[in-house]
Amino acid sequence: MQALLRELRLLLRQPGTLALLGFVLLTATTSLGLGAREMAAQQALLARLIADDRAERAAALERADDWGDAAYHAFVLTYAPPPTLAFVALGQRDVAPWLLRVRALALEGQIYESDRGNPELALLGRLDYAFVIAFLVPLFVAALLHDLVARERDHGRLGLLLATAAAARRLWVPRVAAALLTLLLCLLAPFVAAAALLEVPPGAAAAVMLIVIAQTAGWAALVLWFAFRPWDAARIASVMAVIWLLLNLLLPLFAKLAIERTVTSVSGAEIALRQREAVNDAWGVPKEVTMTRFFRQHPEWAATTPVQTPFHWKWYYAFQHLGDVAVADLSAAYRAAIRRRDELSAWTALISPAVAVQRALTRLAGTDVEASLHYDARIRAFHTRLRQFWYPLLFDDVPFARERLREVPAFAASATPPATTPGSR
Amino acid sequence: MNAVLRIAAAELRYWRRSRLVSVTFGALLGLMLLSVLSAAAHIGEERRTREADQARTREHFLAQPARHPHRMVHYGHYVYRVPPPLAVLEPGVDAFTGRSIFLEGHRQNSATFAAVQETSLLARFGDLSPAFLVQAVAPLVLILMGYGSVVRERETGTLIQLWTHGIRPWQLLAGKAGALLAAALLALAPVAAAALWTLVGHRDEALPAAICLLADLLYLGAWICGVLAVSSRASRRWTALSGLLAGWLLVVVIVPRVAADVAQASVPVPGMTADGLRAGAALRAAGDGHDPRSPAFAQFTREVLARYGVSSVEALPVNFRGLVMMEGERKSAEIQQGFAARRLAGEAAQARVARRFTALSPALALRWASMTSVGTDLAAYHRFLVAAEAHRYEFVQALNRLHAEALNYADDARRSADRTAEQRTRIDAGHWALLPEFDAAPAAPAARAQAATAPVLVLAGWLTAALLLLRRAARALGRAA
Repeated sequence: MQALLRELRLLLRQPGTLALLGFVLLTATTSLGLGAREMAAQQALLARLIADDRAERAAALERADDWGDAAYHAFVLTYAPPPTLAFVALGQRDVAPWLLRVRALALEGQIYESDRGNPELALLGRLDYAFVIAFLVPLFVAALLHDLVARERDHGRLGLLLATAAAARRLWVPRVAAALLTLLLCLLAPFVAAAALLEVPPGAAAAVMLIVIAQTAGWAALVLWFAFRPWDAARIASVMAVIWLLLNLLLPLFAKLAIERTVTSVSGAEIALRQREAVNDAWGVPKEVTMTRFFRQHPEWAATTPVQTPFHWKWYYAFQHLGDVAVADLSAAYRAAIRRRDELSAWTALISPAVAVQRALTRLAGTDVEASLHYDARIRAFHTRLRQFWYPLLFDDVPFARERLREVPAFAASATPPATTPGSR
Repeated sequence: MNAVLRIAAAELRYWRRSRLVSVTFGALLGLMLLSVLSAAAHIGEERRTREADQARTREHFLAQPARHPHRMVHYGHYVYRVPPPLAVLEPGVDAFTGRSIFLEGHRQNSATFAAVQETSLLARFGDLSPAFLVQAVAPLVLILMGYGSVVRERETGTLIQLWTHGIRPWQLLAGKAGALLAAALLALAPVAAAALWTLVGHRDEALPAAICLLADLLYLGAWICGVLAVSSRASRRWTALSGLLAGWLLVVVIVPRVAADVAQASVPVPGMTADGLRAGAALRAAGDGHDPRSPAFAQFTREVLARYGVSSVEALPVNFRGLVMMEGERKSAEIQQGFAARRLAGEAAQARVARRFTALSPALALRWASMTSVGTDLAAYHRFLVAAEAHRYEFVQALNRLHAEALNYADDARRSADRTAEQRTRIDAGHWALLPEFDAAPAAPAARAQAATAPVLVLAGWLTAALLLLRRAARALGRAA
């Protein structure tokens, strides 16, 4: 303990180390602040849009004079609210849409619409906490520890310090501990403060801290393995730079290239085209054919009054649904391909700690690919609910009653996507 | 001159003996080759697929049977974003933007199916593109090769020997710089080859390609001067290396991200969903073109009747319902285009904020220069969006004009209830040839080159600054000698 205190005092007397620790504190705090600001902005936008959506729907339905027309104009806002921990890892939130207004028409013609942010900013990336932990922590650790031994050798003190093996242990263990503890303090203190402020559940906060500690410890082990080689500090530093680049950027990018080539996702363009053809062909197909096919999907409406006129809303919504049915397999394959790529990228975590940390943190934060697929599934479920609201009104020929338009279902966001354990490193 | 060459040759020999340098430089060369080949294959494939998709959807449109023209307005059309040929050098925002847009009447849709949504979290790690390697990896390799170049001679005492042999400080630095420059040029060779290869099919892209390579050279040149300046002023190799690595981290990794965060925070852009909600009231006030009796078209109706000198819409020589469709589309497009223009202007303002950070990071300036010149920047994407909307408006209004001119008003009004009237509102399929070809050619090479002037000047500024640093370092060496 005394040795640790001595090392801490020594550490804090070095201006270089102090500057580094200050920089760590600054980046960690900035990244958390920026993340929290971004999430607050998304939260505020969402609150405003939910209110606007309700008002807009009411206004849009004012002039509706039958159910079909009302359903045509009744867009409902669906959304994936920023999860509590999203400020830690923004993940896919600036590239995968989290807002979409849908109506009872064919969903496959609506669900790929994407309200996405500025692509040039997405290209640059974000300085979120996950980035600091995944990419910068290794460099911080290396900066603190790579010349642990070399420094003493340079000063000619090494022989003296290492007179005995016990002396060596007494020297290095507290020194490394002091360096890592101060680093962790600078990384974790801002996070703990932010977590307390933003009311992060203790379990989730502990998981984030565990990831930070694991990442720091893992890199410390790697750096120390080189630090104890009889090399000079510059050589160790350059080797560390190369390893950092290889593990954190080059290997993941190779993996990405390989994954994209192995899992060729079904072309989205194909889904869109086929869906449109299916919907439009219905106008040229005898209505009985369309209705029979629809009743195969929804036998509960088969006994309702048949469609007689050239245009009828029953028939319109029937062929809209058949448009979705026509591409259901393609659409499922498209999502399966995305999921498959995501699963394959998980293997990259075995060779790249940065991928492991990013995956674990975005998973915890509910901002990963799984979360955007989850939102996709929620939109689909809600669309079914929307159809189920309109179908009885349309098919049972219920007389139009304006006050019932208030019953159009609203989208209810689930809390966070299914809680999952953080990926292992 | 001879002395300069001898020093450069000695530096090359030193690198050959260093395992770390040979391995990293070899790896950089290998990666360059790989990335150029893979980018060429990928961009070529994307271009072919999207051009084929475009041709196919046009055929679909032309092959539609005889029907009511407004049905074609809702049948709609797809346009595809084809990456420019030089995207091989710098894919830019390509992966972060939708590949196709569905165009239909009354509505403006978004660009859908962006690659970034289909490629897992690894997409956020960037791209193994030639541009990424030049911006991020090449400087790091140059640092590893050059950080010790002068300070090493100082540490081993050979610097004094050089001075006693009559070598002047500028000769020493020029020799070392020459060696690093040779390495940089070798690393850029695959990029130059890819640029030349692209020019085979697209000769008019020569100027943008040259600007790209010039920007790469200015950027790597600035790094070389910076590395040498630090190396000659440092007292120990370790100090030089750690200083340079910290600089690299800031310039390449941290500043661009801070730029994005600051830009995002300083210019709020509410997005398409928010705009759609805000546009609702204005669109309703403008009137729905499907409903000619809407009070929103009362004024328009009076004007039309006055223009034709008739007293009722039934007496018009054209189909009034078609005229209302045209008028409704004109008004709704104007409202939506207004929102879209504000949104695009907001994004452009964000990009301008991010670009101010080029004063802190030449890597940002390089990316800006190459994206702008090859046509994969935000402006090029916006150009596609604007072209798509113009295309949409053009064919929708052409169909609405047919609706007004080729259809009988009485039939049109009765078509939902009367089967024979409905039959008469179907017009010949030959009309669908009115669909114009979608022309989303990128901005002219000369225009892109001009737009790239600003970032190229910024890079030239960085090179000048680095040269000044190097001159000061040379003077300091001179005093020591």
